Amino acid sequence: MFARSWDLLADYPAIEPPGGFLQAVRRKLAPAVLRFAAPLAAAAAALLMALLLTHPTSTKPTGPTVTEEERELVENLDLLQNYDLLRSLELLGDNGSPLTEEKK
Amino acid sequence: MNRSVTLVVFLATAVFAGAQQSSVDPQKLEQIRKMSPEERARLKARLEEIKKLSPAERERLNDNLTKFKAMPAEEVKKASERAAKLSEKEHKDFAELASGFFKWERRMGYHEGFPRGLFFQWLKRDRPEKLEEIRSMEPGPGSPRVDQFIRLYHEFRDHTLARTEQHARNHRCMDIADVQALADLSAKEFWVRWQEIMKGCGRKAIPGPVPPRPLDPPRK
Repeated sequence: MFARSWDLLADYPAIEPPGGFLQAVRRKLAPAVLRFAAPLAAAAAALLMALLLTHPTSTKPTGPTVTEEERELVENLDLLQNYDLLRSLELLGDNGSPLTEEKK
Repeated sequence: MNRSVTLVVFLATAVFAGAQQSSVDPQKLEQIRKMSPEERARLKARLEEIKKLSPAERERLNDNLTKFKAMPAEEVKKASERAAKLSEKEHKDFAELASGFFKWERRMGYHEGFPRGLFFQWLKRDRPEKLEEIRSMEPGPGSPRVDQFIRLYHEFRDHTLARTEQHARNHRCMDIADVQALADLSAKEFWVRWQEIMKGCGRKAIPGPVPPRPLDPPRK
């Protein structure tokens, strides 16, 4: 009876493991720290960049955070300080062209 | 895994915020922080005024700012002195005139390579009566200024062509045939090509043969 059962089981097709089974087993067996190596490295790099960019160096002014108004003023300071001149620069500038040196 | 992604996104945001914070020019920031409240309020009011300008006018101002930054210190000084002598009305008139012309040349597609500053300089020097006439005209849509701009634009083109040819003969800094070929180009092509040709000049004349320097007298 037992031998016959074995014979019948031998005729039954073999069950293949699903795809990615071996990789999943390897992942489970690996140490936890290695499992998250890629995201941890990315997070560390991002943290380092954030620290480098947000911590002021000796040449940057220390003080309160830059407000939106200050940012706008800084970005447009040249324009704001020379506004009157820039509005009419076409009629006020010399335009230093070689042609202006030509005699009629 | 999801938590790691969240962390990375959060840190990337921090990096972006940090980059934004550090992009502010520290010297200008310090300058602004040292200003008196009145001075700062004046700048703020001017900023609000600029924000209300049309995109074309803001483009003109930025274009002028680029030219202004490239000007030699001596020219900046002279231009500032001229500006200081103008009355408020003259400032307004000049700004309106330059702005109106800028809008017109853009609308016509004539702005590429066109030397606006040189045009107004020529207008002031060679056609002062026309300048006054245009100033007295009412600006805005359908203004008779447009007809004047068209005439003067083409007149200035002929004037520039003649002047460039004369310059090429005197300085020999560009090929005369290239300059003459400008005459066949359309209004849109003319100024782009003219700018290319003028780059070859660099304000330097080609010197003629230099006579040999006399030898120093022999030492006794």
